[in-house]
Amino acid sequence: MTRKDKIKQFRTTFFSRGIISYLAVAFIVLFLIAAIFAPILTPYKPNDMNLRNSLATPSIKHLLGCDLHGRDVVTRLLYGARVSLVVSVFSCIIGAIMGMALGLIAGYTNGPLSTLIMRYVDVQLAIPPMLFTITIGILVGHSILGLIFALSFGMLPSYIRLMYGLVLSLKQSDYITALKFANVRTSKIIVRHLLPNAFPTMMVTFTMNLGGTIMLESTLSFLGIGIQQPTATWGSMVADGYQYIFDRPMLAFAPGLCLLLVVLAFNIAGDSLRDAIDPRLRGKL
Amino acid sequence: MNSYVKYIGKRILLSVLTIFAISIFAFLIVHLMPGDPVRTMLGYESDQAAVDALREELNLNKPLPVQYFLWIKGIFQGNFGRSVMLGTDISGLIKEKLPVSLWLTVPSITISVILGIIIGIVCATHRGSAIDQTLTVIMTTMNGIPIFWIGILFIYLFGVKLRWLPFVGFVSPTENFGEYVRHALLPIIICSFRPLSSIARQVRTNMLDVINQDYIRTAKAYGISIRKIRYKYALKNVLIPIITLIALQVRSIVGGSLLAEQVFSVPGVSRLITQSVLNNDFLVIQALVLVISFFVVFANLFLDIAYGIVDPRIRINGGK
Repeated sequence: MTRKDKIKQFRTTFFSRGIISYLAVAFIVLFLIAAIFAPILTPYKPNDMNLRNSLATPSIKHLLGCDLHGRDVVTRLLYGARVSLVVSVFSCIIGAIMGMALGLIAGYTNGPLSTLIMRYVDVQLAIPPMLFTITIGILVGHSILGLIFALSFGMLPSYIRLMYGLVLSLKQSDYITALKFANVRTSKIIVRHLLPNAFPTMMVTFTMNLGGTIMLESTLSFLGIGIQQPTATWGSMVADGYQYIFDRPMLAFAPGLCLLLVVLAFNIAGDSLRDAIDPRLRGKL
Repeated sequence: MNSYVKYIGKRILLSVLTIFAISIFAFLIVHLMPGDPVRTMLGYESDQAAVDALREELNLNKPLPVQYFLWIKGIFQGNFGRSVMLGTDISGLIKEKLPVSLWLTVPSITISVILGIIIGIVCATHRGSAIDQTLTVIMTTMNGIPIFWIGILFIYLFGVKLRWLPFVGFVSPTENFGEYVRHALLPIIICSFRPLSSIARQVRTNMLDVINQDYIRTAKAYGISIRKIRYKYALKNVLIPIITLIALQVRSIVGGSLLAEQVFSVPGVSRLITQSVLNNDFLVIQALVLVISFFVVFANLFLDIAYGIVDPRIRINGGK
């Protein structure tokens, strides 16, 4: 099969869910555009207060109206996307790198270090994930950086376990044994053979984790223990809007809907990616 | 049977070790804090005498291992210390609030398991049909929906617009069962979203896998009725892996209850966590991390034992 055929096959399987897969990709692209070009897309600033517009109803100037402090809701949604994107991408990258490194060490060395890492994973998994993230969040403080660290720490077990399993199974495979006999350096085996083999599966986990992390960040911000006011986040916008549920339900509905669509888009993209990368797993989960 | 006893013994030992490790983690929360935990808890304007008193009360002047030992000793005597925010005894707080949370989470897990299995089977046995597709879309959506948001939507719909249900507070079923149902219905439903969708999707996948196996084909060739094949032969193998999944859901439902209690103002442990985090009441968080994790580990141990009862392979091989 040529490279062109492979790409074509990838595309066919990726979009095999029909309209849903196209919608998922469209929402992810929209999300990225909103996050990256937020300052160009809106004439307002997310924290510009104008009490004359307090709880203003939707109009041409303010498409979704304004919140209690007269801040434009659309603007805050766009900037909220920005926060979600930055926090989730960074924490997923940090989590993936740390988790893969630890999983690699645990899988490759077969001594007390390996046992220690895997026991640690068991203990972390025994603590409810949200409780764990909240606790780490307390230790590192309520800043965006602290939150990124807490979130990345929370997803460590998924990467460690994945990498550990992959390394163990690959270590048994004939071609790795052959490389060892051929006196190829361990570092070269890892970089040239183990990592590329692990990459596709990692991409699937990464995409799925992006959606999950966006959700977790919003959840913590909703509870008031994530990113602090006045930074616009979808979670805190829902929490603020909840107070005006009687008169202006839109204030709570709009950010939640954005969140739902983005998280669903990432979940579906993750599923499709898995189908395309590993056809054996099709339809699982 | 002997190996099953060994298997259970090993599980119990592992659970005890896990609890021990978690207790160290919980203990360290106060000690890994950047800055002075006592000042953070009491507020920076507090006077020196109060700071010194609390430091003495928490044994912070003693070496770390001694502190840990004293903390654990206290817990075995039912003494978790005192909440700085509320000024009350933490063990009393837990005794008061834990049942409330259990009245939400236990029904929620139960409903999720029962409904999840039914929906999963219906989807798998009607694979590709309109029912299967609709339910799959609903389950996928449930898995991606923000729990706090759907809670607010429910309040708006059933509480504000239709006025069918009250939307804040909690009534214990031992006091008034009807009122309990009315208050707890919506929180229980939103807590069930994640567990229900995971279980349903997993049952569907397992059922489809099992249906395609040789022994099912053989059973069909023997002319056994489809109904009997499905519910007698297939279902057993479908449900065994689900026990592991239920164990996972026990962990994740803590997150669900955190939101349900916040949105519906239910005075349970989860709401206590949120309030304690906001008020830097670390001693309460420390205690709750330990207590909640203890419940999760215990639930997992129970499911591991149940696993052995359901699956003879584990009973005989000891889980190897």
